[in-house]
Amino acid sequence: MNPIRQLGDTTVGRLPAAARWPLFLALVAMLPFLLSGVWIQMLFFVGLFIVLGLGLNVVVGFAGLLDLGYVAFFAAGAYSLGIMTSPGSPFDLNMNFWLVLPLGVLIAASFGVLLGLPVLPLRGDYLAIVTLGFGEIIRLFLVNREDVTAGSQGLSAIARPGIGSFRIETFTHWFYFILVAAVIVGFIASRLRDSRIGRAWEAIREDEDVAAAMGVNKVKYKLMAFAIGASVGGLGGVLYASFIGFINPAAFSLQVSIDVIAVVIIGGMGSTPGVILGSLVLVGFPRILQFKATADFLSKFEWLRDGLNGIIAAADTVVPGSIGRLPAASEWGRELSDDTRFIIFGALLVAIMVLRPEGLVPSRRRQLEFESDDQPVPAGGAA
Amino acid sequence: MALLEVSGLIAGYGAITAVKGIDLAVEEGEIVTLIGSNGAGKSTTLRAVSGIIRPRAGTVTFGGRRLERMAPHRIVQLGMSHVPEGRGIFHRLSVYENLLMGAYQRKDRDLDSDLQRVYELFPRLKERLGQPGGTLSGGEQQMLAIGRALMARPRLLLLDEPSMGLSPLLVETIFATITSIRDQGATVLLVEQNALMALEIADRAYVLESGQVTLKGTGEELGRDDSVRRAYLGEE
Ligand SMILES: Nc1ncnc2c1ncn2[C@@H]1O[C@H](COP(=O)(O)OP(=O)(O)OP(=O)(O)O)[C@@H](O)[C@H]1O
Ligand SMILES: [Mg+2]
Repeated sequence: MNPIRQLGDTTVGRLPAAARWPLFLALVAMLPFLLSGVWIQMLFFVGLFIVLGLGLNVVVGFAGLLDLGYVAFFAAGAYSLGIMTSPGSPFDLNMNFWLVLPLGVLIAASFGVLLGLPVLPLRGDYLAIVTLGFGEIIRLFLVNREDVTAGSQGLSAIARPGIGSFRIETFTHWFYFILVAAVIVGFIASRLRDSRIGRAWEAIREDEDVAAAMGVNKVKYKLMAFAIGASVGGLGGVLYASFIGFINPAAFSLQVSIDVIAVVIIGGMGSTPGVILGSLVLVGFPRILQFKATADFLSKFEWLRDGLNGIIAAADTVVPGSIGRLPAASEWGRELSDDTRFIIFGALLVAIMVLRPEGLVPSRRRQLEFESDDQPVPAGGAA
Repeated sequence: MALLEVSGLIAGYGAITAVKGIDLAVEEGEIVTLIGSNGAGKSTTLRAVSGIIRPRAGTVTFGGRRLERMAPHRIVQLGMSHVPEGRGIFHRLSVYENLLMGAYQRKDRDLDSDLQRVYELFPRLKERLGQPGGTLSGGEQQMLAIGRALMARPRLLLLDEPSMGLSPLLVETIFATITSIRDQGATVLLVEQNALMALEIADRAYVLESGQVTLKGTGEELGRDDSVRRAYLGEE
């Protein structure tokens, strides 16, 4: 048996299932008392990508529709808030955050249906390519339609939420806000998965013809998956725009779609713990590498750099002028998280696909799928 | 009027026309079988009838309703269940969940008596309710596919090669089950490679060749027909 899975089984496997989530969430809720500002900011982004990952997971993990244009819905939410609340908006509406939040979610959902309708008959690779194009169309719209979006100059002073006289402002406030959002989205997603709707998605994912022969309305359930996934993307966009306070089209590139899909795939498609772990690894870790504390810590390794550079210099005398020198040790974290990030990202994806195609924390069903070839699961009672 | 009436049906895929204008009818309470060699268009006929593919021309009438332009999930609601070629088991869903999928379109949620009936027909399924469908043996998957289709309480059951890949003993069981399903009130349209057994249980039969009906008659008549015996029953 796979050692990683065994580890997972023994550490969390002992707790009664019902106690795991409350305990985990209670621990997470204590983090602001233990960690300082940059860490909480980092955790906000981890939380944001958990929200986005859970949303995309409905489309990709549950319904099996490979959507590479998820940034479109994230942008729809963010720009809804930007356009309706920023003083620099071409429309000058100055609306309230709480009013725009549901509107942004709704607008994103309608974008989901808008994308869903033309791609209904498409499967697999074709779907991926069209959705990829959709994300790009939205980005170009943001750049070019200055009369609607203020173009590349962007929108600033975007509204922040308040409750009475209390304003959600500090990193800690935002941390709890995103935590609540993630819990709500996660709860809804898991309820959906175990419902009749979830079974219909699962059936479509496995074989849409057979699903239709069972009486599943393909059109309805596919659009539903797109709309739900998109509205969660919109929610993420609204929260992001409000947190950051300033948006421009550069923030809504293909990279966002890739990041979210990587979070979903690396964690384990269809699995909530997988999305959490994926976001920690892919969103949290690169940010930690950029911390000043990390640089300070790494600067202790200047001797290692000197040593390695010595070796490189020696090699250089044999094959002259071919290899560069390592940068200062304190810069290693930044280097890794900036330029090399995508190489590592890609390598990680390939490694996961080869070694553990079901993801780091596979969903129960996906695990079955990958094991079913060689390991029949013993019979049990009805679910 | 027959329960199912197909007339002038033309269907295919892209440039391929697999079914080239066939007529057939299935009366309430009958077992009708469709036999023919590989690629004759048998599965395509069933797909066009159940709405999985859209007919290019011709009419399909079921219980007085025209089906040619109807979405497959609506056709299921009218009381037609299609067990596709290759069984179409949902691998990641448990046996129990697969059975529930069969009843997906039913408005009433009173499934206990139907589950009991499936367990009676296929006791093996009852022992494996929690097991993922993909881990069942081929024969068990075939039982599950038929059981799942019965969960819809169909008036008409379309079966596409239910005996494919099964041991002779299991083939006997499956055919006995098909007969008892009919005796319990359903009508069956059966596509089979195993022409000998199909003709034995069928009231009537059609022979399909290159997308056209070349012969039809009662099961008994076709079972005696020389050309059928040579072509499909392996006699010289
Ligand atoms: N999805 C498809 N796309 C393109 N061509 C197809 C498709 N399915 C079937 N065909 C073609 O249509 C013709 C009829 O196929 P069909 O599956 O109806 O045959 P069949 O009578 O069921 O044969 P068998 O006994 O081998 O199952 C064949 O020539 C086949 O190659
Ligand atoms: Mg066939």
